[in-house]
Amino acid sequence: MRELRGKGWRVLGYFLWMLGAGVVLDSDAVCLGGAVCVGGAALFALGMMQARGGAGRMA
Amino acid sequence: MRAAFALLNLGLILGAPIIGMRLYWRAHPDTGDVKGSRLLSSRARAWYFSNLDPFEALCARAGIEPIAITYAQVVVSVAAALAYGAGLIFSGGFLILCAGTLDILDGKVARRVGGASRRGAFLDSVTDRYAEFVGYAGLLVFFTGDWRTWAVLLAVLGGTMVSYTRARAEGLGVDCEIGLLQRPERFVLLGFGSIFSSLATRMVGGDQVLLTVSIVLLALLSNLTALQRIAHVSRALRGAPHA
Repeated sequence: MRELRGKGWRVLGYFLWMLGAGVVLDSDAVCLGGAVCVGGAALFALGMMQARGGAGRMA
Repeated sequence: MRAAFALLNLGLILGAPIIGMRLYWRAHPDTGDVKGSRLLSSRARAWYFSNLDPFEALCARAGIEPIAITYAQVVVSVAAALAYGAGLIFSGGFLILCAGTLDILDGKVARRVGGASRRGAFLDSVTDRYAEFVGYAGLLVFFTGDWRTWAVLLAVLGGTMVSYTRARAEGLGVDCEIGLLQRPERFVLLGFGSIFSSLATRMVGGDQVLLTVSIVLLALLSNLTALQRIAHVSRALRGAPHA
């Protein structure tokens, strides 16, 4: 999974957030949708941190 | 509560790509050989393609066949149709964007693993037609008994004719990759149109106004694109020898 480092996790997090938002907005499973959104936000944040770390090392 | 969540989503779903694009363009001012159109510039396409690079590498390393990604696109399109049919407009739009992304990814993986064969290109283009129609079929179910059914039917006709004119032109040896509304533009218009329509309906009410606007635009612009291509090929073949 090292291919996903940085940008990959960020993109996956964005899509996972949208999936969770769809569940929250289109169904009654608000808790499940909320959990998926939190997972997406966490992946996005992980991707951001990895990208910054990579940029730091490159500098 | 859901209206507030919809507003939050509007900011995040719009904001993240805008910031991502600006950062990408600053770091990569040259778009290379990526072609653009009037509605989706080469810079925007280059940014989106770059986002798929990690997944392309992952699929290539995992040995995932490009045709498997093509078939996955059909499955996701069926899911989008079911979502639209059930009135789940946000989810339908999200799944249409996923299907469009898989459509781009299969070509990228094929080129990376050196498997961009004529068979693959053929299967990809015919399954694309099924995938596109299936998505519209869900909208036909959603809008049954409504004037918008006709707009969806016109969009189906336009999308099919855009592809058919290109296939027929290339069969006659004429390059035909022109026009306002090619496939990526159609995905973006329908996918984000659905998502923002669902959010706007939650926030201010209405009857899926933005989705209606998107479908009317798809119906008009895809048929206009088909006409542009017909005129282009007709000009290119003027004076050509008889078949």
